[in-house]
Amino acid sequence: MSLKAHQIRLIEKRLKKEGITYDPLSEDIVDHICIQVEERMDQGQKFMDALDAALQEFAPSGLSDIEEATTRNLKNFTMFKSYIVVAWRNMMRQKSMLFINLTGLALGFACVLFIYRYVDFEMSYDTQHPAKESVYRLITHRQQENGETYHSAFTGAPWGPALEADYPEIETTTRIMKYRLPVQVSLESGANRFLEPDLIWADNSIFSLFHLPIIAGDDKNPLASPNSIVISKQLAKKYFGDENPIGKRLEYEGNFGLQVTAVMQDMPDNIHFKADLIGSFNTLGHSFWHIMDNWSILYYYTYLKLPEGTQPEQVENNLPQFYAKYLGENADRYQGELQPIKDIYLHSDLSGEMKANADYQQLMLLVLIAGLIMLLAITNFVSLTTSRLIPRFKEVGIRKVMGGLRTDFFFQFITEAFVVLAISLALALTLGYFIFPYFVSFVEKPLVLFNDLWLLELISFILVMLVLSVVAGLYPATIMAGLNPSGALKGVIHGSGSAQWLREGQVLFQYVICICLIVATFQVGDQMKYIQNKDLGFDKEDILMVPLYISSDLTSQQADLISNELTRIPGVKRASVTSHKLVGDQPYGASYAFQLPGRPTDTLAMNRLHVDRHFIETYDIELIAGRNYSKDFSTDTSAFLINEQALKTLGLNDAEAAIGGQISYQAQNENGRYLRRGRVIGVIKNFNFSSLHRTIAPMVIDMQAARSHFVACKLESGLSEGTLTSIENAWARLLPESPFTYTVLGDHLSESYKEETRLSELLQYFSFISIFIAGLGMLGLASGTAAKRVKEIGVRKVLGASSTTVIMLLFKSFIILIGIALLVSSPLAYYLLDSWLSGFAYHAPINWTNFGLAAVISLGLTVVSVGYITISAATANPIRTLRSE
Amino acid sequence: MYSSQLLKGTFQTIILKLLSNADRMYGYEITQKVKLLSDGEVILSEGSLYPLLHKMEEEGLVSTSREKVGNRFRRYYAITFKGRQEGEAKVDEFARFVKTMGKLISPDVSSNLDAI
Repeated sequence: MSLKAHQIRLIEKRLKKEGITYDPLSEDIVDHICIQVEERMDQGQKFMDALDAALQEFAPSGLSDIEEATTRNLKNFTMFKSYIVVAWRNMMRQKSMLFINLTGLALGFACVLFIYRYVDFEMSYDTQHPAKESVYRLITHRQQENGETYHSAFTGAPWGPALEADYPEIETTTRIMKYRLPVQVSLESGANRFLEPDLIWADNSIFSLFHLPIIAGDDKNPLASPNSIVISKQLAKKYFGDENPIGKRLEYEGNFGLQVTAVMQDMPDNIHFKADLIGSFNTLGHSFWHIMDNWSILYYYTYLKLPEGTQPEQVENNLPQFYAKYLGENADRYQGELQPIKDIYLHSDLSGEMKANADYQQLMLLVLIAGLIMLLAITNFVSLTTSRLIPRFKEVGIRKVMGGLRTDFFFQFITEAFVVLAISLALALTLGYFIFPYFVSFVEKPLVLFNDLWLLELISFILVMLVLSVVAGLYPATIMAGLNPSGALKGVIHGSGSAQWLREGQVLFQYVICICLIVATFQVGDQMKYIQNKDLGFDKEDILMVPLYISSDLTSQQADLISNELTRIPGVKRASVTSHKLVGDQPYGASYAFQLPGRPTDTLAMNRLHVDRHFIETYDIELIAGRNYSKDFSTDTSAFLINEQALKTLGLNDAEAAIGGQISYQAQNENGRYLRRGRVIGVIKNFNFSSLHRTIAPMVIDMQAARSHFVACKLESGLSEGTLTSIENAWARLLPESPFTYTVLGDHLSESYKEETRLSELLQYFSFISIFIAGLGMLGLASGTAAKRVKEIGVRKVLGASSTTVIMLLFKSFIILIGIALLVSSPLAYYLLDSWLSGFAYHAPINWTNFGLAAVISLGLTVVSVGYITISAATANPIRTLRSE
Repeated sequence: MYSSQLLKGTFQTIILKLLSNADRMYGYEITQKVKLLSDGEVILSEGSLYPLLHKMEEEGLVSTSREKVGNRFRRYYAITFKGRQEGEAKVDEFARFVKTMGKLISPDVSSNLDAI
């Protein structure tokens, strides 16, 4: 005679009831009693009688004394070991629960770790400078003639030294200038030419404001004299190999020489500017036009270092006086501000930033998602642990009747929680170790998974886990402590208001987060699609951009020759020479005087662009009024095109009215300033120039071949190998001096939204993970609910309910919860998205169907996760579910 | 049947001795073996056996293994090397104790006492 499983379970229950909780002892006794019961049943006794007799024989005075006697003699460590063993066995007994908990927590930990690494790096910008607390960038808000304010990172070149001379509260200043195009650097021999995108010009004081360690050469004043240059270690290697670079000569754009005075360490990524070469600022005065003493050309960055204890406001208060002294009549249009350098990377979005900055809002959105992921994983964990404990409530009720909740019971919970957390952490680290390289190559940041602080981080993580375990253990213990023992004994648990509320609250919470995340994911996706497909006002497809690197200015005949020769290549539709690339470039600005018949002269600041005759056809830009440039009009060399925005700025409603108006402005070339004058011949549709973060600025276009920096080729049908080779050959023939490099404009456009696209993709990936975790949690909760209602469903079916009715009954509560969640989450999601979208000048409207879609997806998620369990509960045979042991 | 008062200190010795002659034993088996060998004169109750076994396990005198038997788990106890040494010492000590007790309570001893 061998006992059946349900009989053994009954014996186990009896033991629990009698107060045996120490698991190894319980196993001993169960086995012992089983043998005795089996012997008695072999002699013909019934099971229940045999059990009663065996228990009576085993311990006439009750079993709890045995447990007392056993645990009293044992050390805590032995007990603790047994908790872990028991925790392990409990987990193994409920594999699906374990799977949900481990997956959720491991994914959660891994995501949080990744996001932490990413955010930590983004927050580390400009924190390495010893003087980081006292260095500021002077930025300019300039009121334009049209009333708009131009927010710029730029200042004038003479401002810095004058500020330093006039105001003793400023310790040092440094100026930086960076040309917007890569420059050509060649070695003395002339054999090797390099295109360097990261050459800046700066005052010698740059080394005292920023942390740029000199590793060889003059570490005191490397940039004191004109024509000195400091290069990075990596470039020293590239240029000179193992030779000593100090004292070597570099040729700048084939124009003049620069002497290497020092070598600096390669700059890390987390500084708001990048430089591989730093030339001395005073070289500019020697070798360029006389722009150095022009007060109102804003093209230079000025950094100030204040002595300790000096507030930036002290300097800011003096600025109006400073502008009045040096900028004459325009002074009141200027407003200055000192921006702490630590704030530049995350909090600054001005025109003329040196490097693409990140958006603090979006970064915080990522942090929010990390928090939500963790919150979801932990609520899953706590609620699943709790729901698993509900069957034990009866047992607890008895304990309470017998006197108090025993601490070892509580410790058992904590240990179980800790074991699960520890395994999840180990899983997360293993998972992280393999996936992190992909993450790094996706975000393109020099992140490391384990840095020098790993031990400290691990310890703090374990501490956090301990706290979590205590919470996860304390939570069910508190619920149990608050139980009404008589209710618990009767098995009335889900009927009691608080437990029911708790469960529904958890589901509601998960739905709210799910809906918010789904809506956000869709909206972020909409916005990215919107940006990529928005009509920019010109054709971005199939346009090849080749930068021009030439030492002397192009003449209009040369420009014509280049575009004509390139257009002759089969596969090239048209070619055009411009001063800027149309996307992501820094436009020039100028002050234009407009003279229209019957109106007073208007002087307005507008962007300017210099093009050639083929501009409009090449980019396929729409002409609203007037005509395009033409060979037939010899005066067209001085004619202007303006955009719609310029028309609006002028206050004109009718485009035709602008045609024939006269424009004049101060232009500048190597011979100095001169007045350029001409007529408006056409008005073109607005096209987007810099970024969709900014609105379209008014623009004036004219033909100036000398300002050409780019050649655009409009291709017949995509880029083919043959066309590319032909263009390259023609290029080598026409412009032997300029190396052939190219970008495709469409690609370039995506490039200029790369940071944003990447961050939104990150947001989307992490949202998916959190939705997945929420789904897991629902699965766990649903299986709990269905399991508890199995008997109720059985009774309903016996009384005549069909399976469909029962399924509807089970789903009804979920549907109501989704409805409530939709009401709660809609305003929340709307608010969050609205503030995110306001960062874009052009954005897709908030799409209300996304909210409906989110509700449908949540419902779908519920059907998938809850459906199987519900249906199997509803279709189960009531005879089986109602049978009592 | 001897009183439990008298037997209390001897259980560990008995268990160690029994285990040293077997590969491994489970709780019920130990109680039955003791009953059998002592012709029912020594009863090792469950209430004494299990606390003692768990204590001995913690001290490293015995080791346990767990095996599924039918629909339940059975915990087997086996003697360790340390347990074997301890057992020999205990048996030895107990033998001397019995001898000494014999001396103390033999008839001529009592007559000696009478003489005093």
